[in-house]
Amino acid sequence: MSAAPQVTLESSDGEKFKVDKEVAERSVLIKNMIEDVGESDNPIPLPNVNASVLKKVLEYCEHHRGDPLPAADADPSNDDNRKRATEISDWDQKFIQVDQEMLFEIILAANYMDIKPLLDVGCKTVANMIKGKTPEEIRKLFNIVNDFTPEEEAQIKKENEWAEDR
Amino acid sequence: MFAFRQQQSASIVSPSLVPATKFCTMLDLPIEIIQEVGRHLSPVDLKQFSSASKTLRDALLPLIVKDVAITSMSKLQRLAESSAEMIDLIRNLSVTLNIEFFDAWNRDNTAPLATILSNASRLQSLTFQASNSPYDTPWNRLNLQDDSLRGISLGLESLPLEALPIFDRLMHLELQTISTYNLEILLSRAPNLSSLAVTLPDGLSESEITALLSSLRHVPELKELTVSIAGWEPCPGSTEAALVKEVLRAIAQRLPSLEMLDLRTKSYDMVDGILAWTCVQLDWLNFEDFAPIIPLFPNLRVLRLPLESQKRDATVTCKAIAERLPLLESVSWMNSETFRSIMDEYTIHRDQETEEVSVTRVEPPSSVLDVIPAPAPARRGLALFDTLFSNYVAQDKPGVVSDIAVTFTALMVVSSMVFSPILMLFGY
Repeated sequence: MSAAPQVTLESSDGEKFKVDKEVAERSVLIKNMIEDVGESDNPIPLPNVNASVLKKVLEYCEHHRGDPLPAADADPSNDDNRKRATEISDWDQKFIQVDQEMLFEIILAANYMDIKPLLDVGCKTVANMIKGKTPEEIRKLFNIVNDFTPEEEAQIKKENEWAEDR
Repeated sequence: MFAFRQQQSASIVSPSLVPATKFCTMLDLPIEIIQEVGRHLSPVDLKQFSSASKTLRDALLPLIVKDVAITSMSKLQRLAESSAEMIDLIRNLSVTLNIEFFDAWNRDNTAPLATILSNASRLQSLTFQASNSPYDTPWNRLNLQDDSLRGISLGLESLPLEALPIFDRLMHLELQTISTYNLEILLSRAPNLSSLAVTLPDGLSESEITALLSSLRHVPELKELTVSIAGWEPCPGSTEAALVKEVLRAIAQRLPSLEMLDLRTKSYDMVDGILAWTCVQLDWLNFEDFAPIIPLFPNLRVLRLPLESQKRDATVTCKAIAERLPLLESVSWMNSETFRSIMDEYTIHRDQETEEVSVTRVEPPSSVLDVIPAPAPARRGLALFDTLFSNYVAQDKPGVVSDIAVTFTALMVVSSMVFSPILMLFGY
């Protein structure tokens, strides 16, 4: 096992992480980079991800290193119903118990590094936070400013009505 | 996937432009990710989420409006009053008429559906149907007033043709009992249609058939065609068989790439002066008659037929059809013994070397057989009711195909004219 090939990743703030290639390649971005450039000792720069987020992301990749890779991007619009099941495994649930800022940073990093299962966990977590809340509660929770005019708000109410009880 | 490629290239070109650490919030997420979150929400939660801010609204509206199911006149009118931009986001639209909706439809002269269609240029599928609910289906109204059905108008004739967009993404169209005039208008604007299911409002009447055939010339690329008959215009048996054969020839000529042809038909009809449910059994299904027509559909993979003539062994007929159609994978009939909505289905296998054809019967799911009791033919009223009831019970079972709207018209008649104890017997 000690002979497992390793790669070095460099975060936006210059910190270097040496990890097993297998772990790093949970990220499709990194996998493609290694395929394009070939193996090299130079660190792979990840200018969109800072050290604390990268550390967290790598923790996820390490835990899921043996998982089968998800099937090539299926049409995401096709399986809305299946996706509505918002179950998250126990380990992932614990892993994603972080403050909101870190949660969004992890989501952005997973998107940027193309780690679909992690992106899913992040999006499901946000969805679970939204469930059952009113718009006002959602604004409060995520610190969102209500930027609708009263007219727009009335219009939205109307637009939402015809689609009721689907 | 998502936006990472753009971000990646942007960051490689000018990493210094990436903003220094700042507090990351919901609204910093790219639209694609907000939509991804939205896909994990129920329609109700999705609407609440989208009502929190403008950015969220703009990002989520395409998800909210993607699939629209309309079940009442007031909803239809509200949708018609929505902005054109919003209507243009609709991908899948279905309209289901119950009695109340149907009556309101007839009173209305503003044609809200036509207004919606004229703005919904990116529609991918459109369904217009009568409700399945036994006591709430408008089929009764359609037929009891008159012994022939009038096709429902979508109001398209009130628009100038140019007002209707070319629906170049429209792939699936399912239309129950709309007027053939409206059907032709729609088909003439749907050049890429791949699947069409129509229920002809007036059975095999010559004018309906002519109109259907004329409409089909607009969609030569059609892959799947389902034709059902709602009302039945009685005509002598041989004429009828000849007509069907002629119709099939005409369909084959217009739709050379057809891969699925579904002709299983249940109809309701005036029998001895009363409205009754009938199962269409056509003489043309005698294989000798049908054989010359079969090769006209060389690309056919799936064939679904009306009631089988009981004179022949189905597997023999099946084999004979398969030998004439090299791509055929499956043939099914309506079940001849019970008139059930389940199908007798046969799968076709071909030996790669000898090209010999063999046929296996597909067993219907046992759950369906458990639910449906075989009706006793001697008690016609009761048997009929059995069938209606079992259709109702079985309608959600997988693999069950039923024409509920058609059958329940008869239910209403039976319940009003036969004995009410049956109603109690079945727990209604």
